[in-house]
Amino acid sequence: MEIPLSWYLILAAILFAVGVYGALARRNAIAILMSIELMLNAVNINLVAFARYVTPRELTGQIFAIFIMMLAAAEAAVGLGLVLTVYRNLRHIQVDEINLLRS
Amino acid sequence: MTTTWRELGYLTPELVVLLGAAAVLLLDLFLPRGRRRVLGGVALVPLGVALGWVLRALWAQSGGPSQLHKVFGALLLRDPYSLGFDVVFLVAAILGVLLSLRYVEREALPAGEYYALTLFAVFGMMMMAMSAELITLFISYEILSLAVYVLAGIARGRAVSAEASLKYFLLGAFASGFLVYGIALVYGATGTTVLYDPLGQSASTISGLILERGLFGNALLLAGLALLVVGIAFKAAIVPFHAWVPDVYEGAPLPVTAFMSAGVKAAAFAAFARLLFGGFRNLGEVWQPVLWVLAVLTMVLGNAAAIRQQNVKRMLAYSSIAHAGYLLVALAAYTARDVAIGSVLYYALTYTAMGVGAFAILLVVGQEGEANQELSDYRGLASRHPWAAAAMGLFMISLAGFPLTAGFLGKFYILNAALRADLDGLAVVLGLASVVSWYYYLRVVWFMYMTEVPKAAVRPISRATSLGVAVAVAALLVIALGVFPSTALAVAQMAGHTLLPLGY
Amino acid sequence: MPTLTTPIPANPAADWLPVAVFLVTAVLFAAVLLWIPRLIAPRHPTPDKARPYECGERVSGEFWQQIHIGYYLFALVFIIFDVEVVFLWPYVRVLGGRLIPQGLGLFVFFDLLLFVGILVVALVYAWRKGVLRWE
Repeated sequence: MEIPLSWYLILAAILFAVGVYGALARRNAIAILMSIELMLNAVNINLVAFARYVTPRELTGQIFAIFIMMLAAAEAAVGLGLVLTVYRNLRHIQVDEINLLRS
Repeated sequence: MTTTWRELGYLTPELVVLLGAAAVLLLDLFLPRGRRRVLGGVALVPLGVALGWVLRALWAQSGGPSQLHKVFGALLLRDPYSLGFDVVFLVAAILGVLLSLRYVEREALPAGEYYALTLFAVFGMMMMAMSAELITLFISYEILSLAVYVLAGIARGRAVSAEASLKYFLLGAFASGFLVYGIALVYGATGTTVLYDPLGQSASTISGLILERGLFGNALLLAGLALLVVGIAFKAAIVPFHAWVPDVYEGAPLPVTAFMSAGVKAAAFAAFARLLFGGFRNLGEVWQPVLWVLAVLTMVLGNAAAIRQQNVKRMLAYSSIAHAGYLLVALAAYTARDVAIGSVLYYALTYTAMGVGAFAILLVVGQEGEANQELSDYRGLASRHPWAAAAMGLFMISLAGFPLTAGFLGKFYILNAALRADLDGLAVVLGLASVVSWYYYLRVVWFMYMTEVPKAAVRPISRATSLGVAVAVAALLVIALGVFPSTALAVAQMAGHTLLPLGY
Repeated sequence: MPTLTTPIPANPAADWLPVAVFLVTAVLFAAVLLWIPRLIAPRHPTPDKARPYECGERVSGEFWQQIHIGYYLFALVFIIFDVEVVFLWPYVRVLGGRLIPQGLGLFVFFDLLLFVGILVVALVYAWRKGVLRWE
């Protein structure tokens, strides 16, 4: 029995939701960054599944997944750099306690 | 063979900006520390060359039939629409670099990285306006975003700058997660990521397949569209995805804020219009009510928050949310798209001139470490520095939308589109929102002209030539677009017409 | 008899049976391996034996140590180049497979040169900024 497409979509949706929850609920900037990476990887599952089931003869989905991996790496690089600058200024990275700006 | 080389030729302005960014980055490494001030001037060269190329290309098409070229399959479109938005981005960037020349030196920012990232951001914007395919759109969106995240935090020593940048980054990365999930769902529903084919040669595009397979109520497609709108609304600073705007605009270095408020917003709207009027043109009945609601929310909340601000930089940040709302009105005027898209482009250009101009005056009046941005710092400016006050007054009444300024005509054409699309309610909200905005814009004018300040409290202003040039250029643009709008309008309309359905 | 040609209705449980057997075996195997030493090995714990093993050296310092920040820059440069290499595959696949047979070899060459050139700019930047030197 072949695994139907919807299973992959459900898995990806659950992973994405876990990522969204983590990004909203965690206070540590690095943990938020990890949650966002989880969201991106959920999308990758979706893309590869769609590529296999919807357009089996084309590479669009797989290539897009590679692009997302690359962007996730670039985002992580930039994000960690920004976390470092904040740490150097404030000596902590708890986002809910970063409130120099009035909002 | 020749076709492919010619395709690269269509990308000349983009490639010039990209090579310029690499050149600035490399020059920075091999220049002695004291000579790095030339980098700003070096960064102006590719921007100027690209602007010249774009204007020449637009000039060549005015009057005649507009030219439309597909680049790399149908990934990118070199059409008057993308050229028109390129003008907006390049003007914003040139003004932004002019504002930075003095600032970067005074605040001891890393010049090489600063200008290189500005150029990378412009490159991302230009690609965003060109992209007619979702993967390309996403990559350009990220090139732009990553560069701007770092620019917002480039004043590493100042805690507010670092904080603004981290907040912007975390929320931005979160939003790009939604965007990319939306793209995946749209791809899953249609099996393609190409938005539309302007030449009507292929029906296997998103807009074509929606018609062909009748995907009007397809759940995957609609969910994907909704997520795409969320991702782009974040970049365009649309309520309720605007939470980052005031903090980031206030915390980021002033020239970066000026560049961001004009350029990033214009890029987001360029992609937004291409997405909605291009790829999802056949779902207009679905997305139009959503935009209607977003437009009302954005105009009302942006203006309501701007009224309460005592800090001019923060007031401009909130008011820029309100301006995003006015642009949304044009996008919602879906049934009058023959004039709506052109009015988006025209308004983006006018907002760039007056918005960046206002930020330039903030730099003129402001002092080291971003001091002097309270409303009270503008007390009696007119008697002390009449030219600075006059320019600020011009930008304020233009932002408020008074006749004979660019801002008035920009709003007028958006209203025109809204009324032709029978969006009377939205037009009324736009009118009322503008009237409310008069209060906080004119308050600045009142402080400058109607109040006096004791001699002892008079503070000096910055007299850098580059700032003066930037203010003069912005002021001339505001007047020119307000008094002689016909050329710019004709170009904007021609650009807008490229998005009208010819094929799939 | 037509019974040979009638398809046997697929039993979903049968397809997953090997997986289930594999899972159960794996768990049992691990459990048994942990259980046997407990049964037969002598146990005489002393404080020295309970210490973490660090190649025979005396244990010093905390386990949760801060890692030198220099590693971060190295990791950054590594991961960017590591991921970029992945792009050479679609490049070869698309440009090599379709364009070179059309006589566009030179174009492909310059296209790739542009791509690699941007990476080289990044590498030169990292090098001049002293990322590659371990102080």
